[in-house]
Amino acid sequence: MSHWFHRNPIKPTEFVKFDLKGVLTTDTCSKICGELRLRRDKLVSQFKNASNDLEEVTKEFNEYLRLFAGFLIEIQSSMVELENKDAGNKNSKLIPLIRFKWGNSMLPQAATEVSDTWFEALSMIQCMAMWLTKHAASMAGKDEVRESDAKECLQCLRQAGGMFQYVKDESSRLSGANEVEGSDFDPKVMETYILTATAEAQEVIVARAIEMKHDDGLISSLAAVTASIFSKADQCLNNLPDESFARWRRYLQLKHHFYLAYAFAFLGQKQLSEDKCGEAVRACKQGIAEYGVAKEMAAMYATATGPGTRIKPEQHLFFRRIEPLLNRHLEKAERENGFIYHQKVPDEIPQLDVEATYGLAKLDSFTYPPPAESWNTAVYSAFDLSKANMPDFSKIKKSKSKLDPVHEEKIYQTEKDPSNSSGCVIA
Amino acid sequence: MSLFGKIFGGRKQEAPSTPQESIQKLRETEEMLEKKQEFLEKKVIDEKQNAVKYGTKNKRMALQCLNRKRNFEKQLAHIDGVLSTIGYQREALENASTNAEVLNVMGTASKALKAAHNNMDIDQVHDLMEDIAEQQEVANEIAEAISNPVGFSTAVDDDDLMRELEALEQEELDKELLDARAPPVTLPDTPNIALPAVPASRPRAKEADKDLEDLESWANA
Repeated sequence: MSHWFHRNPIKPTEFVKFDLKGVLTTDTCSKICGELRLRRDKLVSQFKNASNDLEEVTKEFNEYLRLFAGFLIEIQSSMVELENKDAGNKNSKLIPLIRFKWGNSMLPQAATEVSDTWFEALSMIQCMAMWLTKHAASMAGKDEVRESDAKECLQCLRQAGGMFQYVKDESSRLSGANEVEGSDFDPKVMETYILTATAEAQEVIVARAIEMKHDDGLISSLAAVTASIFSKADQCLNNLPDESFARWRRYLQLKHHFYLAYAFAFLGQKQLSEDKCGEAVRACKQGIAEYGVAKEMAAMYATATGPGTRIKPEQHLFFRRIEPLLNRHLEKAERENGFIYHQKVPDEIPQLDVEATYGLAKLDSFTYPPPAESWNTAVYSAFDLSKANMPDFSKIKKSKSKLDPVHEEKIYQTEKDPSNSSGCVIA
Repeated sequence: MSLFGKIFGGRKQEAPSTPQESIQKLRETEEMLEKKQEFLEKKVIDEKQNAVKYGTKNKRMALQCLNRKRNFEKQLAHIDGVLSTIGYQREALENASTNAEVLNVMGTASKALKAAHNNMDIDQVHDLMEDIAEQQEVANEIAEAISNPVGFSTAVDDDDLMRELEALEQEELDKELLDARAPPVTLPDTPNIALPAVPASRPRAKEADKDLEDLESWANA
């Protein structure tokens, strides 16, 4: 199942000089700010290409966050934990010192300016999470996906989900940030990102189960759980404007029906093995009906408004592979019912098993890394706020000037047929 | 072809399917019939149990069950016949395709043999064989000459050795008879522990649980 994932654009941002002039009273302070400027610029440019090396980007990201830690919390000793607000850490005196300007992944027109370093940190963590999901998509779209690639794909999606969760939990630090409807700090949007990452991680597990020819009932349940997570993600975006969110919603709806089709197809196989042939035929027919709905959603996706990938999913390999499988399962069930069982095909749709135990994709919880070695009490004290001559921009402001969208490298998606029998190349 | 045929196009002759395709189709049909047999056998057992259950209480129902059982048995007998016919046909096809393959190989081998013999002259072969035989005789004579020990005493009395062996065997037998003990006649007590009930196995559920464990360990590794 060569995967295809819809991806929203990465958040645009304005270059930050970290130019604090009089505030920097020592060389170490100046060195920290200079390094932050360079590291930030390098990290932002690395986010443009999803196929960059995972280890390298992760290292750059962690180094930037560690160096930035002194702008978030008061440095009392060299080892400070930023795990949560209640850990007794005081906010840094440097929080309102620099103004940051960030755009939103879903609202390309709206940019936000805030003099709050937490706004920068959380935006950067969101960006990293988005990059991880894009990296996962590039891994899943390769011509030959090995087991190690599948593992990396799963790991990226779980880490991304954990980061989105962290941002959601910490977003209360930004007064007013979550009031902008449809912004990346809107709780509904944040929840959708979390659920999407979870569902996509689950997709990798479903693919693995199919490839390993696991029990049909288990595959059916895994697919049903995946479908329900996609459905929940879609419901989160219910009341948001269609001009920005229609495309993303169509993707979530498409995947919901796509995995329902899988769930019913494998439920049919399971029932066939239990001599419930009439029910098996009904399940397989329902699978084909769900696939029909997914096809409609795919057509709507191609014409929907809003940012994100522009392709025709129904022409994609992941979509083409399912149809023969559905037809094969139905054909087998009908043939055996006509030849052996002669059972009545029920009218009611069979029940899918969506037990919580089958939601195997657990998110990796994210913890903010400890401050860099450069930070200590003396260095922190050397930032002299009495020399700062800046108004307080801590309130969220809508920026008057727009940010240019990020020019990202296109994510490669294979069209080559897999070499194995199941066509499920994430395994 | 008639005029009508030319105008409207005669019926296209379907290309005959290959032996492999036919064998595959026959196998699939066999599998399907075997599955149907299993299903009918279950039905026969069910009807028999129902007949016993109704027994004397409801003779009419019991007779109906037996009647259905008989029908199922007839169907089973019919399927047996069909299966054997299909089996013969499949075997015939398999043999035919094997024979064709073998003949093909034999033809190739025959050509290869002919090509190999092309550069051989029978007189040359005879001369060569005579030379080999002559040299073989010389070699045999040499081997015989060096294998006969000269001047060594080889006279050993076989009868004498045989007598010694018999004496040793008798000695061993006497020793065994002296050491023999009466075997114990007490039997062990039978255990009075209640045997555990056989658990109702759910092989499919177990399999699914194992698969789930595999997936979890893979996902979290």
